[in-house]
Amino acid sequence: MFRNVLAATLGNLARNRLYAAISIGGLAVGMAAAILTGLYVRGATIQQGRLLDLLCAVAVMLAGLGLFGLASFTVERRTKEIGVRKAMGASKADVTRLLLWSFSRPVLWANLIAWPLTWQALQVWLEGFSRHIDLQPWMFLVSAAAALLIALATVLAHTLRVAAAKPVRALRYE
Amino acid sequence: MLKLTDIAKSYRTTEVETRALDGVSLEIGAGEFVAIMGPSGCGKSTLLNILGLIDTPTEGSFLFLNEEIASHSEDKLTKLRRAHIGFVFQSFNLIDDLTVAENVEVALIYRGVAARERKQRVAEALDHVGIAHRAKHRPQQLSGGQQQRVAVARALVSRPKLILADEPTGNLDTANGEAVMGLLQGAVDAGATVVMVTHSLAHAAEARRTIKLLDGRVVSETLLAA
Repeated sequence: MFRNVLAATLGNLARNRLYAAISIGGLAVGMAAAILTGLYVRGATIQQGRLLDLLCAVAVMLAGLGLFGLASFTVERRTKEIGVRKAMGASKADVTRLLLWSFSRPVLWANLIAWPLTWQALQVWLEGFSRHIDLQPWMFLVSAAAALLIALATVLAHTLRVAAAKPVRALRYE
Repeated sequence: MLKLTDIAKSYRTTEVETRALDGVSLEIGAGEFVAIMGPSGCGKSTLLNILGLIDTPTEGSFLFLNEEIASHSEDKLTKLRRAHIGFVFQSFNLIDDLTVAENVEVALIYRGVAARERKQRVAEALDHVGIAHRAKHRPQQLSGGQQQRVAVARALVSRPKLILADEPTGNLDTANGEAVMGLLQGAVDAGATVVMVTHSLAHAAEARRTIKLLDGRVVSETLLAA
């Protein structure tokens, strides 16, 4: 049985190379995050600032991979809708706008939820230092803009591919 | 209005080339009601997709409103489609996430109709197909017949010159099929050109002309006495 499962798994990996790469990449990054967290908890020798940088980069990559997966899934799910809209006269620009906006929305919501939590957490953290900077609104706006930019760059390839496709391709897909 | 000369369409996969249309020539005048018939896989839908500018022929000339479109870019085709064509599909193809009214409105949004006029025209169109009381429902909450009436409303609301219907009654019972045929006939009476793919002899008989396809070729044309 184990051999069958292994064969099926390898077969699936070969068929869906892109998804396999994303999944394996995501897993690898996730494991790296877990190891780094472990090191941090054990009070390892890495400098604290450097470790935070690393954790941030890992978090951004994880989020990016998640969004890339979400973009593939959403585009796949909305293929027919996009075909219908194009048949109704939607242009490439209309479809691109529609998809990019639908991907931007969750990022904007996530930011709205994250702001008060981050504000609170950073306040507590900064109070641990006798001399510290003050939090400014622009820091949050810049981070939101960066998040949005990363998100849009991540989903752009999917969006452009779908927007440029002939409508009949999408409509034949049922 | 539409003039096809020696239109061919081939699909190529890595090994096989399938010829869906093979030298189709036909002319469809403004205000005509034309039925296209033929067995499954004979190229009916491909022909309809080409007429609707959602697919392009691989060979031949296609004059759409006296404009040769064979060499048009996707953007130009989009503009023509937006301005002149309405679609009705066999599987309705309504957008599940939108309400009935929003589905009908989609056709007007891309034509740049102002919001106020959109609301009014959507209401009129839904009223026309007898589904105004369902305006706020989602497509899944409607029966097949009701969904197809919404799809017809969506096709009619932009007042297109050309309405293309791909087996519009294929998934409907007799009564709903008749209702949809009545709506299409109404559009013809109002001046639109309707081209409909159908398997139903009875529905084809309601058209003024029937074109029969076999293996990607036109094998016969029957003109119904007015």
